[in-house]
Order: sequence, then C-alpha cells, then structure tokens
Amino acid sequence: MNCRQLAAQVDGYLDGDLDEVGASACRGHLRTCAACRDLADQQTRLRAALAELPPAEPPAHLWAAIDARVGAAEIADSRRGALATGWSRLVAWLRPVAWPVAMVGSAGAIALAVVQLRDAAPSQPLALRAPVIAPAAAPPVRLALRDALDERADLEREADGRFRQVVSELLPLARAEVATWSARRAQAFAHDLERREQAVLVASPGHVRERAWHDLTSYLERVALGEQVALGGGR
Amino acid sequence: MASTAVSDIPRPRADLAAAAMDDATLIAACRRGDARAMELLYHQYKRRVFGLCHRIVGPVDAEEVAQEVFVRVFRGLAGFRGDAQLGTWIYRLAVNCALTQAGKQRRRQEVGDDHLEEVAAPPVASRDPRLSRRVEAAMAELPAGYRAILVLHDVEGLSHEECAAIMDCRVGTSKSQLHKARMRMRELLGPALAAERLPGGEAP
Amino acid sequence: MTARRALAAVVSIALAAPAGAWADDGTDGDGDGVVVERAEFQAGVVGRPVGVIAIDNSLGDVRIEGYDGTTVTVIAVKHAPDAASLRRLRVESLANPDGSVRLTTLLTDRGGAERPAVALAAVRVDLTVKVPRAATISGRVTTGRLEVANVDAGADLDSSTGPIVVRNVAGVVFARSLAGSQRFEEVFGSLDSHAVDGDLAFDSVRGAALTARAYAGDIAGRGVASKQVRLTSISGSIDLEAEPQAGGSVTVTSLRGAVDVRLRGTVGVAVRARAGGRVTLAGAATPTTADRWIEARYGARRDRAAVQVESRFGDVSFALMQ
Repeated sequence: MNCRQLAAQVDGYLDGDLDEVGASACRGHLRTCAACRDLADQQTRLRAALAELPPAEPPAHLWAAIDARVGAAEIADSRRGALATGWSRLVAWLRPVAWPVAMVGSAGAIALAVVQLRDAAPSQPLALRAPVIAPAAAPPVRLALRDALDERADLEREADGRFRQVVSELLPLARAEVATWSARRAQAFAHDLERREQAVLVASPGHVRERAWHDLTSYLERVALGEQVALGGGR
Repeated sequence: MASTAVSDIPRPRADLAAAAMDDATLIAACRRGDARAMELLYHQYKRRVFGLCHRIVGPVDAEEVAQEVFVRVFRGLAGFRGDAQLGTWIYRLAVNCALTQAGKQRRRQEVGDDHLEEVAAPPVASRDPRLSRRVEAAMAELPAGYRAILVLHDVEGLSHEECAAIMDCRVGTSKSQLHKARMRMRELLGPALAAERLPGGEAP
Repeated sequence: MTARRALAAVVSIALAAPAGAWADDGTDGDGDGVVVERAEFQAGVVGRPVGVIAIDNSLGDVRIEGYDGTTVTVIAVKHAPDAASLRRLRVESLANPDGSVRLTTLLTDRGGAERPAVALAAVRVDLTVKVPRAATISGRVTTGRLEVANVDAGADLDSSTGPIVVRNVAGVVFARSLAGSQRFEEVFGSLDSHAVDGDLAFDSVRGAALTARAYAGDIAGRGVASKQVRLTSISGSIDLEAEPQAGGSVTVTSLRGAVDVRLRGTVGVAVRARAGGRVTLAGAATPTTADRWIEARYGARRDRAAVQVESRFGDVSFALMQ
C-alpha cells in the first residue's frame, strides 16, 4: 500500500468498514509512514471533535411558534377548502422557506393602512389613510453612494405603488358591483378580499409580493366586470 | 447526559406517559389533530431536527427553518405514506428545508466552490482553546451539501444507510460525499488539528 | 468534473469556476470598461430526471429552451463595470434529490473596496438554460426578458417590467407581469395570463382554456382555438380572431376598452353582445344600451359555442369570417 491508496482508504479504515486484509494493510502502512499517521490522527481527531460538538438546543418557545403556524394554516384551509392541485404544490415548493415571521409586527401597522384603503369612506379621518406599504417603514436615507441594491428596492417600491394605485381604482368598481349582491355574498367578498390583502402584506418584496398583488388585482377585476367569482376560495 | 434539561422544564409528566406510542399510533393521533400527540412527536424529534438546521444554515436562520420543517411535517403527515421510517422522512424534510435555505442565504461571506479555494486556510486564531469552535467555523465554510452529510453522519452519528435514505441517494454516494467533506474539513482545519496534538497530548 | 457531478447529487454549487474571464478589465481609467465573465455548467442530479426547474434571475434575461436531452446546461454571462463589481454577481444552483433544480442569481451586499457600490444598470447576468423537454419550468425575471421555447410540461412565469415570450410550449402555462408585455405563440394547453400595464398577444393557442386579463394593457389574439376563452380588460382594447370550439365558449369583456371579435370555423355560435358605446353585429350597426343584451345565432344548432362580447363604456364589434 502506498500513501495515495491509504488516503483513499483511511475513511473506511477508521469507520471499520474494511475487511481484515484491507485493515491490516492500512495498519501496516501506518506503522511505517509518519505522514499518513498524521493524516489518520487528524481524521480521528476531526471525527471526535465532530461527535463532541455541543448539541444545539432548540429554544423553549419553538413549539409555541410551530403550533401557532400549524393552527393558522389550518384556519386558512378551512376558509379556502380547496384541494391542493399540482400547481399549488409547485407554488408551495417555490415559496421561500423563511417565512417573514419578523414582518408580522411591522405588518400590523400596514394592515391598518390596507383596511383604510379599502374602506376609503369619507367619514374616515384622512390622517389614517396611509399608503398600503407605507414608505414610513423605509430605512433612513444613507449618504453613501447609491447602490444597485438601493435602486432595486426603489423598483420594488414603484411596483408596489403601481399595484396600489390599480387596487384603489378597482375597489370602487368592485364595490359598486358587490352592492347589487346579497348580504351573504357581500360578506364573503369582504372576507376574500381581506385574505388577499393579508397575502400581500406578509409576502416578502419582489416576485412573491407581486404574485400576491396579481391575485388581488385580478380578483377585483373579475368582480368589477361582473364575473361569477367563486366566493370563499378558488383562484 | 444533560440532554434532558430542556425537555424537562415545564412539561407535565402525564404527557410523557404517551411516550410508549409507536410511530403508527403517533401518526394516526397526529392526523386526528390530537394536540398531545403532535407535541409528543415534536419533542421526540426536535433536538435532532433543530441540530440539523442549526448546523446546516447556522444559528441565525436555524429557528425559522426548524419551524418550517415541523409545519411541513404536521401539514404533510396526511400524505405520509409510511414507505420510509417516520424519522427518515422527518430528517429528509429537515435536510431539504435547510439546504434550500442555505442556497438562498446571502451570506456576507459567500461560500462556493470557486471561493473555497481562496479560503482553504482560514485565519485560525491559534490561541483559541476550543477546537469545537474552530470546527464549527470550518463547517460554515463548507458547501451546504457537504455540511449536511457531515452533520448526519459524523455529528448525529447516523449510519450511511440512514444518511442515504435521508439524502435520497445511494450508500456509495453518501460515503464518497462524506469522504470529500472530511477531506475538505481537514484542509480547512489543517493547522488547528495538528496544533491540537502538541499541548493536548492524547487523542480522544 | 466527476467530482462536481457527484457533488450535484446532493447539493448546491456556486457558479463553477469561470470558464474564462476576458475583458477590458475596467482599468483603462475612463470608467466605461466592461468586464464580462462567461461560465457554462450542468445542473441537476445525476441519473435523475429533472422534474421542476425554477430559475430566478432579477439581474438580466432568462432564455429557457427545451431539447431532447436529459441534462440541464446553463450558460451564465455576467457583465460588470470592473472585476470588483463582478464579484458581487453570483449564480447559485441547487439540485434537489427529488429532481428539482433551482437557479438563482444574486447581487451580494456591498463590501468596501472588494465589492464596491455599483449602478443597477451597469451590472447584468444573462442565463441561457437548455432543459429536457419534459421539465416543468418556473421562471422569474424583473426587468429582463423571459423567453421559454420548446418545452412540453408547462411553465409558471413571472416578470415585473420585462417582456415574457413563450413559443411552442405544451402543458399548463401561467404568466404574470406588471408592465412587461407577454407574447405567446403555439401554446398547446391551458394558458392563464395576467398583466397590469403590459400588452398580451396570442398567436395559435389551443387548449382547454385561455384566460387572459389585462388592466391597462391591450389584448390581441390570432388563431385562438381553446375551448373556453375568456379575455378581460379594464381600460385596454381587445382584438380577437378565434375559432370557437363545439360546446365551448368565448367571453370577451372590457370595462372601458373597445372590443373587436372575429370568429371563423364551422361551429355554430350563439352570440350576445352589449356595450355602452356602439354595437356592430356581423357588419350591421345595432342600437343598444349598456344594460341590454342583444342576442343572435349563427350556423349549425348542434353544440353551439356560447359567445359573449361586452364593453361597459366602449364599442363592441362582432363578425363571422368565411
């Protein structure tokens, strides 16, 4: 056995995967080669160090967070009542793993703004009519050279702005249509609308949010044009 | 071992009486929405799931990914066909979620094949007495997939058969990946592993 | 190479070492140098058919083309004003054991002199991806062009302001854009398209359903032969030339835009139309009001297609072609 062969076999040797002949050959080479003994020593040490890494303890509040998310998802299911189609599964797969948990706090403030927008009744105090994705949440202006990342954030804000404008134009049209509906259907509409607005609010910027905007605007388009929309669910 | 510390905190002992449930009973109870069963399943797997997430995506995102894993577990139990062990299925979800997240992370330190060459010898604080901290740092430099196999096999102590089932690959692939991961670790840690020998003396 | 392929069996690979960086190097001092780096690599899990391939490129164009092979080949071309900025551009590839492949481009944070600030217009990454025909495509761009051709298992496409172009695709196709135009040629399958300000164009679309909605954009269709066709706009115009299917439907609705529908083929149709403006039915102007439908029937009685054309405030015209 030479050093190169040993390097290839050392894992199997240390893991006890080699047969007696192979193991003996390794031992034989290690007896005579200091460099390979070093290699084997280091591998042994590495294994021990890995096995002894301090365990990462799950935080105590983890269960509560999971329980809450499962509960929220089930409530959403009960409202949706739709079967997962192949596409919705694909979409679920595409959804970023990291849910914007941290956003929930800031979304609270924004949620109010959406409701304001939807109920832009004259009796509402004007001061409350903030834009949906309020630029109030924008980071402080930096004096450093503007960067592509800043420009992209601007583009995202612009896109939000355009969608917001479209929603504000569609809402009166949709509401005029809904005014001719039964109270029960009108309530279902309000509920569906809210669900779609929530989806916009929790979506992270970029395509995920644009998707939620598309869902909201095309829903309003359908209602505004007097189409039969599946209430309480459906795309 | 001290490993029971956290799970013992405020949990009523009565819950643990159900611990005798086998996987099939547990799954059936969870599917019925039995809250205690769900919590029990969580406690059974939380440490390893969180450990996998923690080692693969790092401390910042670990909690979020672990949440995602368990949400997927509970949401997916209805479709769990039982063609794999429950544990294998859960760890596979965990590894997939963690790898997906690792792929998305915009780390300040970008890690990738092209970059690794440049950081082959990380600045090792040679006075750092804790090898494990260096090991963690070196692991963070590995491509995420290497990290995954290294965690499954060498940290969590799973067999190659289990690793292969979790990573959905052949046993041979699992072995060769692990070999490469260890070699990369040795390159990254080289000085640290060697230095450790001098003062410390005995190998563990 | 075998090492890399084996690695792909489990994991994510950052962009393979550049196949060749050639450039003006940006050091010529006048500031308008361009550094270009081109890399070609394969993505996917060896020995596993590619199921879903998801490509997310917010830094430039994406061109996805199906072919009769089994591997996914990616050509990534990065442009930046200088080598330091180029280092901020990354292409990541993630191959999952389930056969799904995800490609993502990203612009990393600034990092001092090593990774200086750069203007968005000065950097770009274009991806050309050859995929097995049977792969299901998911593609996203922001301002770049998203092009998909010759695939058989559908596509899910998003763009913000860049155009979407789809050619010779089978399967279920979804497309969404804010201001980007969308153009579809030879789509065999259900198609669902939504744009806010972008125009939508369809040429030779045949499937169970074609649903297209534009807010301010115009919609134009030629050779549309899907069974259920529904086109809607709020302020854009709609111009459709379609071949109704037996027992199918063609519904075209606009709030403010003009609607012009021409049908050809052998299937009988039952038409109803109304408009806030003028209604022209089969060449004859017909008086109507916005709240009254005009109905007419043409051709064979069996399996008539139901046709509805409407503009709340605009003009409507309907014609049969020989």
